Amino acid sequence: MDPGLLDALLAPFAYDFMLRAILVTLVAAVACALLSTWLVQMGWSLMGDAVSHSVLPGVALAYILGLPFAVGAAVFGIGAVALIGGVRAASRIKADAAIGVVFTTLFALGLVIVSVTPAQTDLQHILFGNVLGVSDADIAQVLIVGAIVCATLVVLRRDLTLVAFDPGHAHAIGLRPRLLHAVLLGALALTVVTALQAVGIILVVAMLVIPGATASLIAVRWDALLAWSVGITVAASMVGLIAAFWMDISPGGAVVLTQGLAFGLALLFGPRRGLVIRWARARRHAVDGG
Amino acid sequence: MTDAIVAERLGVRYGDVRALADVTARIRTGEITGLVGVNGSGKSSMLAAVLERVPHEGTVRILGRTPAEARRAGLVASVPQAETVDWDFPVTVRDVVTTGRYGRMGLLRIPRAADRAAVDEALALLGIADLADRQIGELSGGQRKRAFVARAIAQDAELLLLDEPFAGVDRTSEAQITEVLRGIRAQGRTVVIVHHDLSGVAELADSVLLLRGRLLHHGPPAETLTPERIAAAFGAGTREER
Repeated sequence: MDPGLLDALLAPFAYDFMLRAILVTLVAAVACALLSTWLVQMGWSLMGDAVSHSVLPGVALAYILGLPFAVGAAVFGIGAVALIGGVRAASRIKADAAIGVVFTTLFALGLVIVSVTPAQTDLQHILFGNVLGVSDADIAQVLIVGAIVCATLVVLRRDLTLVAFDPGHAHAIGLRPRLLHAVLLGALALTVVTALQAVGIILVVAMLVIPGATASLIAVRWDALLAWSVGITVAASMVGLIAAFWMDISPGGAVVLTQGLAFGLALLFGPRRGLVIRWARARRHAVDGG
Repeated sequence: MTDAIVAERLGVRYGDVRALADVTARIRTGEITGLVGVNGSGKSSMLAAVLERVPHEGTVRILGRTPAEARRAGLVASVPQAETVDWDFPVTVRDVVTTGRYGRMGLLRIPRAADRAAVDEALALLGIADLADRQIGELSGGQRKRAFVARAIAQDAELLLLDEPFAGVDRTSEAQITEVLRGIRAQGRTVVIVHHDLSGVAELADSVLLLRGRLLHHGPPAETLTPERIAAAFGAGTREER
């Protein structure tokens, strides 16, 4: 490799703030990528959007009360899920409408709470991330929460996958689908806490959807799906952060943009359902048939 | 011998819609029992209620135990309707069959040698060993059904509940599944099967539950599937579902 290029790639690692940014982003990205595989396969992407926005009032209140963000986010994330279920049961409106009503209302509540708190500048950090300025306490929180989420998901991955694929069979053999759904939603609320440090509330949903969606264009087995999802997100995070360092652009924006580009590549060239493969198959079919 | 299923005044409603009412029946162990009726007659609801997958009225005992005990003991295997399965899901045929063994594995669900042997045996029994590493959606309709029956076989359950295993299935698969179900009965186990084809169920089942929102009749096929009872179950002049 050209030594100049190598220096350029390694330069960001010489700065403490970049190392911290890389650590936080990678931990958050891996937790999101694992969770992403189930959210995408179960059709829960909108739920990821909803929970990530709904934690804003929790984060704001935690800030005011001097509690860890994770506590406020978990309470409001899980509360939002319960509220969505309650609204559906009470009104019989469709699921997407119930989700839309609940999360936008909670997000608005968060904006109002933030607007009456003295330190308003933090709103920018919560909405768009502040990965270049994370404190030691933030890092500790991301590492602990990220480790809990990743360990839970890895240990329960086969049960979670079974419940996503065939909840009837899972139930028939004595598993508890509702409990496992609750585990996933709890993991979702906690994961949002880690990811909003890295990319901010607005872009968390990207971290929760793009890796799993990209991997599903490539892998046909679940463990491979997890590996691709994590691998893509780690690569995209590194590329995004290094690009952000050199081009002086938003790190969260750069990471998500890189993930989006990875999805585009998988859509074109993915071995499972890529457009190029399908085009080649159709063409071969036409030639064979003619 | 303990009956496989004892249902007392079983009923299911979804909101304001009543799917099934007041079914009292004993399904004998070691028999193949068919559930027959039009779409919406409560066949699938009956299976769901037996497993307690849906809220229900009345009581159910499975092999003398509560449904929850029976599920935890791995006594019941369930084969879903094709329409309820996401065929694009990233699992292979072997993955699907292996989930039949989950109740016997530890928390991490790592298959032991006995589990792998049971899976291989079930795949071979259903004639899909060569398809084991295919993604489930790459199989034909009949092969998909055979994969799910193989899962039930790998589970080694005492009671098999199958929802329309012959719908959209080729002759080879139907013959193979039929042979396997008869083999299960020969081992003294119980099969309950939602069936859409009246002549097929008459040939396969030892007894038939004729449903239309409630239990119209329960007895041997010859006694149950009479022209009058079929007319009552399927509406005037309509013998076939749909």
